[in-house]
Amino acid sequence: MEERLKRIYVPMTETGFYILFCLQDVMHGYNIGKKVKELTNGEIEISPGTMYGTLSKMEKDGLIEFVREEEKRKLYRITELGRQILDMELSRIERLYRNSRGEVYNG
Amino acid sequence: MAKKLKKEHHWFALTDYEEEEKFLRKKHNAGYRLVKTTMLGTYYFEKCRPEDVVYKLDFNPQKSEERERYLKMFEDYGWEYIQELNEYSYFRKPAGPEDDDIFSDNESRLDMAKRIFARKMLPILIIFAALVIPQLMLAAHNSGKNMVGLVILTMWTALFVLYVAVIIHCGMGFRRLGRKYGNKKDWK
Repeated sequence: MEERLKRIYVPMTETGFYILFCLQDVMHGYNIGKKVKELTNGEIEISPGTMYGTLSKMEKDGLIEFVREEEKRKLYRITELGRQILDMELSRIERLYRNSRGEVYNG
Repeated sequence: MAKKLKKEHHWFALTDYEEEEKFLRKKHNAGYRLVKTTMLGTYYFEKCRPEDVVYKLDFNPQKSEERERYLKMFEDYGWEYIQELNEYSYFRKPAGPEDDDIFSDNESRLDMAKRIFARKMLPILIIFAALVIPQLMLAAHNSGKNMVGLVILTMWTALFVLYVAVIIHCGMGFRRLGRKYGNKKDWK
């Protein structure tokens, strides 16, 4: 994996994390926003400018790919590269969580 | 259009979009709804019921086929698209308890400022360095010859002063936005 991408995306912003996490299923921007709101009990909101900008950036960097269009809404899905970055981020979060509970993280 | 529009002039620089948003919100609160704005800072309003409506500007130029998808995203979120001017998109939405911004993190706010810098500020700097300064020097060199030379020198001097004013104003604006939203190290 490119070092540059690792540097940009790990650790991830909350916006980036939730978008990538949601795109394990095929979805469009507005639906991602709704799902994130549900998942986080309304604590995380992703506004349209942020959503559009992040999706464009992730598509350009190859973390997600355009699948098809439905009524002018672009549907995306995570790519293999996106999957790798998401996994890295997930183990980082796992480590934080375990350490915060006083446990030692063994990978 | 039968209704009479109220016309106002205001000048907002490339980096003053947050001030422009506040200005438009204040007008709507006072019962003046934005109909359109044109180059050189002319704003047209129509009388409306005073209401707290949030105005937001986004800067994210796209190719035309992408434009519809971009606007669709904002529509899905309940933002009304008003118009585009100088590649800024104008949106509005009645104020509510939440979702009052088109950006939800500082990273994307900073990204917008960076897009403006790359697409609008950079050309200004290039024109200033590659055209205004050399032409001013050339005009200064030739000005002693006749009246026309003096007129040309005056013209380039005026342009030079204008460019310096814009560059200083926007430079301070970018600095302010960078401090507000970003990592200081990115902006040094």
